[in-house]
Amino acid sequence: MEEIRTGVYICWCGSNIAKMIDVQRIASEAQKLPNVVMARDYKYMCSDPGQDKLIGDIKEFKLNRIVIAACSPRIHEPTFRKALEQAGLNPYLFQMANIREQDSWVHIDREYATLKALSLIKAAVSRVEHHKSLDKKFVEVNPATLVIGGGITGISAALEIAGAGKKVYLVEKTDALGGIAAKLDLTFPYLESARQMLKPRIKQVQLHKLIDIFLNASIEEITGYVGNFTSKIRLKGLEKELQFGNIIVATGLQPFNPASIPEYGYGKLPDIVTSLQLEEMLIQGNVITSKGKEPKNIVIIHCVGSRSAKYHPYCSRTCCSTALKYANQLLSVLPDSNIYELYADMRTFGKGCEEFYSDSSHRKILFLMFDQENNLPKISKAPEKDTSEMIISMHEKLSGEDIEIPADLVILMTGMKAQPDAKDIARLTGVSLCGNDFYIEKHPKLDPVATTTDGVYIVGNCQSPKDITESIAQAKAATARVLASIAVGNMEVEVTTAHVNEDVCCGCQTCIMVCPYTAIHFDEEKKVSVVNEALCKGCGTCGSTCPTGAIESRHFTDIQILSQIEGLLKTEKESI
Amino acid sequence: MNRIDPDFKEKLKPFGIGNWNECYHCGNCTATCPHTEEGFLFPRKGIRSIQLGLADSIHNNVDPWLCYYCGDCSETCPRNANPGELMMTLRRYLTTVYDWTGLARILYTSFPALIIAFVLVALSIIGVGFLKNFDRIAIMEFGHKFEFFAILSVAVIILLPNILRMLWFTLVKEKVKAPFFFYITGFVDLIVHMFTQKKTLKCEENKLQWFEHFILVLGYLLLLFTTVFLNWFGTENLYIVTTGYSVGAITFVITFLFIIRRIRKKSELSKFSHPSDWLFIIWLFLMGLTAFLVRVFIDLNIIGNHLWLYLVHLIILAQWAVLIVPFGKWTHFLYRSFAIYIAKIKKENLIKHIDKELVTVTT
Repeated sequence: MEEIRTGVYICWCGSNIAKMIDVQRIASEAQKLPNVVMARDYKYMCSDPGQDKLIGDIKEFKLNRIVIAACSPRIHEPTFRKALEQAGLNPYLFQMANIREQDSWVHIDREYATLKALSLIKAAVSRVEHHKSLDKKFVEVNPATLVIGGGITGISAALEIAGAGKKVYLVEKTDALGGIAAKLDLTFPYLESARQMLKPRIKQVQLHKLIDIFLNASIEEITGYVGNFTSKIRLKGLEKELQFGNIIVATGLQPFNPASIPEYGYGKLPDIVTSLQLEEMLIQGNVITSKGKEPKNIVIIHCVGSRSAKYHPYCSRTCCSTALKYANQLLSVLPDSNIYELYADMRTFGKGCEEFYSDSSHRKILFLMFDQENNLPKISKAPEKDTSEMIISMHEKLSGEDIEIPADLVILMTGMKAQPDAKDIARLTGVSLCGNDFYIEKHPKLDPVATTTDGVYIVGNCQSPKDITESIAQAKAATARVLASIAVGNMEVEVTTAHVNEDVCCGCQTCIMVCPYTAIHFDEEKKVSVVNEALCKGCGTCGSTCPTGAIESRHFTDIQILSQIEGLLKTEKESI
Repeated sequence: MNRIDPDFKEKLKPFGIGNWNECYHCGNCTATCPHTEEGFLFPRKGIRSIQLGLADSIHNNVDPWLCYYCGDCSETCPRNANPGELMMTLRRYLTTVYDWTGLARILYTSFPALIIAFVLVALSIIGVGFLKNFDRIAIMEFGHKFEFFAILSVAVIILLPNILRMLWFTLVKEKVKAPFFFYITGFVDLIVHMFTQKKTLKCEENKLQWFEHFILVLGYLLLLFTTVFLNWFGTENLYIVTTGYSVGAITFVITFLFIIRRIRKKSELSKFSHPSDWLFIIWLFLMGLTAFLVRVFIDLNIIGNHLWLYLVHLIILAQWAVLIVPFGKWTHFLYRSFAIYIAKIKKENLIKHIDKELVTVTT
């Protein structure tokens, strides 16, 4: 058995740590710990001279375990691991003690903070003794990509990848490409035709040799891991197997059904339409009431289903600008009409949209503010002799008065909802949900299109409501990630994974139920659980659940954690 | 319930600014205005009523009369919506709403009708001169009697019913009620304000404006008093003659300043001028000037050879008395004063309501 030679480093982090912790004292204390060959303090361990010192010491003192007491491992663990590698030491023979975030920053008593730092270091020293060398693992990447959803977002992703010369499988559950964008007349804020944007792109997709389109297709199963996925898809009774290395989920949205809002009486009165129904009327160039007349008073109601505790709390983000688009379109086809926008708050963010609002506010459009929380406008049929077909009664917030609005045509700006089968797709692709059945990204700021499952990307409205511009930006962002992985050709995967000791496993399959990454499957022949290490994230859930202790989480083994706890408790005992 | 009417704002175009769309209700004007208080959130609220076309809410509102047009709101408005001038527009409109004859509306909205009315009055005076064979004594006697008669009949036939209509719109129809006591004390405020316009002083930059206006009102009322009741043109009493000269001079000098200011358009107050504004100050100026000159001619003993001057004065006086006083801007003198009275009662009514709410909350 090799001799354990531990080196301990205490970082000052300038004054961040040193002002609250007596670094010199704990350095000399650490020197006395078992297996510690040397201990020193240094102003900035993460700096180049700091790392050089570490590398030099490893060589000079033949160190084979390193403990660095500094900031959070989230910040500099990769830095120091790299330094260990440079010194010829396996990067896993290393442990960090967080004496900044967990100590100097949060305490005000220097004596106690110093004692706490010492116990954290003792814990690390006692743990690192049991660390084992772990080797890097790589998997090959299949250069084909599966794009789920043939809307404008999926189409954009497919074209981008195929344009780079890589194979794409485009799976669409309906019988046509284009999605919601195909149902739109114009787009905001520049009033460009949606079809003129979409049609040539659909054609391009259809003609592209590297894109295989599957319409009316459903995904039955996806297995495998980043770089090597296999999927079964079903189309018209046929089952087909596809193999690919990455997945882009672009499943989009479904419009909210306003029939569930009693105040609006959608479906009961004839001249109340949803935004998509109006788009259809505008495409046909035929905006008329059910009686075949041109509407004189047109009311556009915002936030239908959106930003409401009763229906759904989030903002659908596109309706305000879309409503302005309608007002402008309707004013140009029916210049004598009165247009009313009933809004809760105007939210016309985005390039060119606030300007669009500003321009529209100078036109013959009356903006009326309603109370979204307690007092929705009510639509009712007008009495026989009234000049209009319907009457909307509402409490208008800016005037503080209860008013009545005549209406011949009412447009409900229906919000966006996640697809009805969002949960199924999430289960198949290993994506997690974040409330309201939208998919959650890996990091809301730093990694907005990746998911916690490597090789699976979420783009467009399946992630959250967004407009065409943002959806396409996401599609192209995911494309760059996919192409990068294809270009490298292989991928490093997590090595701190779980591992089943087949002799001890009783085959209870508890681990399979708790695994959040569907990384464990059951070997029917041997009657034991098997971890797919390419999928495993090393979260440790299975290891702590396993009733027989058959699962070991690499780098988080029982002995490592127990000795860390033991080290921590040692100081407590002595100091009390 | 109040039905909205998007075409209503079209009706207001002849009264001043026609573009009511600019305001997006940030509330800056209300925050700037020194006269705003609980229950009187102008100018914003009035603008909203116009945008929505809520006629009742506009007719029952006295807020426009509580604004003295310092122009702070217009100067600081982020949308250049001109709330100050919008208030002025509302005052012009309300003047025609209160007028039961409908003549005010015609004179405010139709320029040709205005010209015809002024020409007709002038021709009538010339006609009277013709009937009296252009005899100086007879004409001047007629003129003196006419003043009495005009003041009395305009007050009884036009102004009194109009004030009652104003009270009807703002208090009775709205079912505003206050303890009896306030209906009496309100009159004290009304009279004090009528003769001092002291509320104007609440506007920060209006100190000089208030003083000029105060002197002008004083001059005008005294000119009226000396000519009508003290027979300035007929008396030899030195005190009366001197008083007449000074108040006549005050009237035309101050109105001259006002005219210059409206031409220069430097302050918010004088930037926009409606025909009714021009008529009001020009006729007041001409009245003071011609009255002054008539007395000068009398004192120089040349009025006999220059009867035309008196006729000109009489024409201006008649146009003033039968057109501008009952149907024009002169009425702001009354409506502003009564607005103080109405606001006091509305405020008491509001306090009563708030008290009631508090009682229900606590019990």
